[in-house]
Amino acid sequence: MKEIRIMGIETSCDETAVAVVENGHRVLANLVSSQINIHRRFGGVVPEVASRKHIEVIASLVDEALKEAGMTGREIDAIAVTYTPGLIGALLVGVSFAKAYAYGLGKPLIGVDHLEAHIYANFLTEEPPVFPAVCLVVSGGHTSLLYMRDHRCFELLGRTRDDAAGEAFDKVARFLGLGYPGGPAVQKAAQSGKAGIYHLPRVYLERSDYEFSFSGLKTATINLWNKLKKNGEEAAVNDLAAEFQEALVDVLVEKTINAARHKEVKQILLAGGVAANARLRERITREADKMGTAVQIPPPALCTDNAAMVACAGYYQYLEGDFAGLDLNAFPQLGLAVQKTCG
Amino acid sequence: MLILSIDTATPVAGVALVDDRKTYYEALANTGYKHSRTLLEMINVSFHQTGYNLRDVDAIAVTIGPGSFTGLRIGLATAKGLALAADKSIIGIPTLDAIAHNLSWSPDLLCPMLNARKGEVYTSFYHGGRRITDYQALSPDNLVKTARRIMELTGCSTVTFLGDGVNEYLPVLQESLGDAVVSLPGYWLPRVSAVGSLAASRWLGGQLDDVFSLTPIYVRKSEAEVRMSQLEGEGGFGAENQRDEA
Repeated sequence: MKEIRIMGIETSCDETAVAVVENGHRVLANLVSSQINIHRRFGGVVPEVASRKHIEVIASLVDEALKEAGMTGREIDAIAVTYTPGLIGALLVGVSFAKAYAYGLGKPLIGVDHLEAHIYANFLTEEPPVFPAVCLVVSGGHTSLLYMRDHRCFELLGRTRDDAAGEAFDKVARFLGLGYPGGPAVQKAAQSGKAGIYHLPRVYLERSDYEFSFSGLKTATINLWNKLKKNGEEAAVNDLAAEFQEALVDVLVEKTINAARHKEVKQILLAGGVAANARLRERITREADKMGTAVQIPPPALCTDNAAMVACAGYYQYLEGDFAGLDLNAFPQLGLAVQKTCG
Repeated sequence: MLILSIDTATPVAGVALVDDRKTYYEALANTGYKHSRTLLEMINVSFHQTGYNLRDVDAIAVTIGPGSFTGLRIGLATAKGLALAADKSIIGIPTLDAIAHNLSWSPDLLCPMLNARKGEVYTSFYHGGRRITDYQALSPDNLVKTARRIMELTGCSTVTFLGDGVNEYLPVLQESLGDAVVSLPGYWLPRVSAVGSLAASRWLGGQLDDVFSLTPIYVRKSEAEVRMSQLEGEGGFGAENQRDEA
């Protein structure tokens, strides 16, 4: 059988990433040019700054990825690029480049949904997950619970009504002065703190549906901090970070486990940047073990934005012949995959 | 020699195939900012219409600014993708140089100007076929002051204004500079064949750009960077930066 090699290109936010993946799972190159240090001084991603950085590095990154994979562009079978959702100016750099590159090589172009790509990070392994599965996608822009019956076949069970989980991490980290990006910063503080010293609400936990809300948790954290300060109490920032993380993880884990039980799935998948959180990984693994359901979580480096996941998602689209035309455009908030049902 | 020339710096998208003597194909789409959807199809049509293909091209020319930030990146990302895939040279042409090139035969003082929003234009001055100022973003008042100074320095009694900024600012310019203002209807648009023709000269002179390091001439910093340098030391910087700019 001929090997299928897909190049993935990802520029939807603040990472420029290029990867080459063979047969959907064998990662031949996976390069990420992170802009974290550039955006840190702004306290968050600045879209125009991100777009400027993407155009500076994209061509070099493609060249380096090919060298690392030990091949030329002509040996690539298709170019897969993230076209939605994300920062429009940032997406347009990757989409414009990928279209022209595919056209120049005479190879097919594949438009990939960023959320679907996060989910497919779980398939970058020789022993891929089994179906049906329940998948929790948690990142800076998204918190969604999906039922996945088969490849590329998603049913949205529920999602956040306001802030995404990663957004709540970022905002609370910024407020508590823990640094940027918020996820790793809160996790680090929480490791030397203790949950339960303070109490924060588990929002929506009493509801039986799969909707989430994290804006209230963020506000409760900020209010509690302000109240402690006003009363002249010495607030322990690490304990507060631990309680915040625990409150957020409690809701994510319980809703995911409930969905897995209700849908009688064989597999739980985690995806997105917040899936790199050690406490979430540990808790979901323990709870799933108790009910005998398999859990798959990509290694942390494949949870955050990368292009190997884009190439992997692109591979399954390649198998279906789902290609894009020369008029492929970028869309800031389409999120097609999470809406899609099939069969 | 064959140059594929592309321009998406302004609301007008353009594609041309030229050499140092001749324009074989030129298409302009004055359809507003839809460049990411249309540009590659326009390129594809240019090849179909002429019978050439990407393999026949020696260099890809692209306008690198000033202009719409997003537009510049769509053009440059496209040019880089084509150049890297087909192993072609890349040549970045400043947008204002290309507009001035429309009147390269003129002995007059030329001032191409592009609408830069925020009450400013991107502009530079040209005389005797050479650019004589930096690319800058100027308010109409500062443009008038600069124009007066340069007229004095060059001994020119008129300035010929070109570019889409003329639409908006002609009355203001006429009010301040009176009869010194010349504007030529029909020479306002950037012409992508002019971009190609400038690139053809560059190609013949061996002055090529590097596909990896070529970046747009933005002239302006991003709003967030401007505000950051204003606020540095004062703290209080947050979510208001986190939106897209032009």
